Amino acid sequence: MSSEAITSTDNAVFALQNVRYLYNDRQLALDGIDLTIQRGEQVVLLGANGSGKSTLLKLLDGIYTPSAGTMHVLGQDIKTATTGEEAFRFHQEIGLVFQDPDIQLFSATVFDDVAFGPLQMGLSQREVKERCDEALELMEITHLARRAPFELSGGEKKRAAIASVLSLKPEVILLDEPTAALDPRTKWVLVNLIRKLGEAGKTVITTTHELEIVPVIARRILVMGENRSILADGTPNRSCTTANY
Amino acid sequence: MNTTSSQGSVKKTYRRQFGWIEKTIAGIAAAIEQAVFTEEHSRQPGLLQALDPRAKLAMFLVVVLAASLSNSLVALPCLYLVLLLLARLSKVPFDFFIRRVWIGIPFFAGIVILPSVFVTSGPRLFDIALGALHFGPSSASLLSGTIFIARVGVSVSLAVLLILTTPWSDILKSLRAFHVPQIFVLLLSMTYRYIFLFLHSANGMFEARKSRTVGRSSGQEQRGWVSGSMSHLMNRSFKMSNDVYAAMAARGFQGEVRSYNAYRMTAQDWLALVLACLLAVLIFCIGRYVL
Repeated sequence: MSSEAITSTDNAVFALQNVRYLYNDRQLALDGIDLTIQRGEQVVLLGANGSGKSTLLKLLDGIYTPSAGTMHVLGQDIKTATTGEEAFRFHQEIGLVFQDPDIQLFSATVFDDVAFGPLQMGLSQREVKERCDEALELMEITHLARRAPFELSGGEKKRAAIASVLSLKPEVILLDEPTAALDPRTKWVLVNLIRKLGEAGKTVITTTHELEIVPVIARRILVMGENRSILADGTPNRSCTTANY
Repeated sequence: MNTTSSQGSVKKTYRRQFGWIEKTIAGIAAAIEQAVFTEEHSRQPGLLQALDPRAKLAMFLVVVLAASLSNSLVALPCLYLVLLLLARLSKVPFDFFIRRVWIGIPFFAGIVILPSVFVTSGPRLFDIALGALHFGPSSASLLSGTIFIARVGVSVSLAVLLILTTPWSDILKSLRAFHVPQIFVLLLSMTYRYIFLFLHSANGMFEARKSRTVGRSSGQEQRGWVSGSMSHLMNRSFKMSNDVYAAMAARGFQGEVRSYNAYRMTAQDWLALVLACLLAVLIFCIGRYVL
C-alpha cells in the first residue's frame, strides 16, 4: 500500500489528528494518535496488553469520544456522527465485535441477538429475518439460532457475536481479538472469514496478539506502544521490524 | 487405634471445613444443569413443543384458573391424568415430571394447610389435648386439605409442563401477547441471560478458593471471603452492565426496545386453545355441579 493512500483523507473512513483519550478524565489511555484509514483497507492493530488497542477500537466505534484532538468518521466530526439521526447511519456503517462475546450476546437466544441491530434500524420483520439468516449462514451457525448463549462453546459464541454485527451489513468492521482463546481449527475458520470480508471490499480493523494470522488478514499494520501512541504504521514486515515487535 | 481416631477427627474437620464450599459449587452446578436440561427438553419434537408459545401460555392460565376454582376430588385427579398424558406425548421424562412436583409440594402445601386441618370446630375424627386446648381434624377439614394439596400439585404440574416444553425466551416473548411492557420483557430476558454468567463466575471463584485452601480457616475468615467475593461480583456486574449497554448502543440502541416476532397462530394452535378452554369449563362444572 502506498504512503499516499495511507495519508490521504479524501476517501477516509477514519481520520484522527493528535487524538488523546483519558479514562474518567484522569487516566491516560491514548495519546497523540494520528491515523487515517481508507475505505476497503484491512488493518491489524498490534501492541502489548494495556497499550490502548481496545480503547482505540471503541473510539473508532463512537463508544468513547476523544478527550482532545480531532476525529472524523465517514467525513463527519465524531460528535455529529454519533448523535441524533446520524447515529443510525453511523451504526449501520460501522460494527464492533467486542473481545468478550458475553457482552455482545445479551439476548435470550442467538437469533434475537443477531436480530437486535437490524431491529434498531427500523427494518421490517421480513428484512430482519433475511439479514439474520444470511449472517447466521455466513458464520455457519444456522443450527444454533434458537439456542441460549449460555449453551454455546467459546468458538460458537465468537461466531454468534460476529454474526450479530454482520447482520447490520456494515462497511467497516472492527474486531477486538476475535481469535483469542480459540482452538486452532475454529481460529482458522474465523481467520478465513475475516479474510473473505476484506476481499468483499469491507474495511476490517482487527486487534490481535497472534502474529501468524496477520499476513492473512491485513495489508497494513499499526503497532501501539506502551506510551499509548502509534509506534509504527506500514506493511506487516516493515512495521514489526520498525517497532521491534 | 488412636491414629485412626485422630485421622477420623481430621477427616471430620476437613469435611466440615469444605462442606459449605462444595455445597455451593454443587448448588450452582445443579442450577446450570437444570437450565440446560429444561432448554433441551423444550426442543424435543413433542406435542406441546409444536404449539405456539402464546397459545400454550393462554392454555396454562385458563386451566390453572379452572384448577384453582375446582373443589372436586374427582375433577382434579382427572385433570392430573390429562397432564400426565400430555407429558407423555411431549416426551417429558415421567420420573422427572412426577418427582419435581410431588417431592416438595405435599411438604410446603402441607405446612400451609396444617393449622386449618387441625383447628376445627364441630365433630372431630380424633382429639389431641394440649392442656385446655383441643385439636383434631374433621372429615370436612381433611377433605379441604386434600383438595388444597391437589390444586397446588396440579397447578405446579401445569407450570412445570409449560417450562419443560417451552424455551424461556419464548415464554418471555409470549408475555407481550398479554400486553406486558416490552422493557419489562427485555429486562427479564437479560436477567435470565446474565444469571448464568454470574453463576459461572461464582462457581469459578469457589473452585479457585477450594483449590488453594489447605489449612483450616476460621468462621470469621470464611465470612470475610464470602463478603469479599460478593463485592467482587457486584463490581463485575456493574462493569459488565456498562459494557453491555455500550454493546447495545454500538448496534443502534437509543432507548426504544424493538423485538422480532416470528410467531404465527395456526389452526392447530387455535384448536389446542379451544380444547383447553373446554377442559377448563368441564373441570369447573364437575367441581360445582356434579361431584
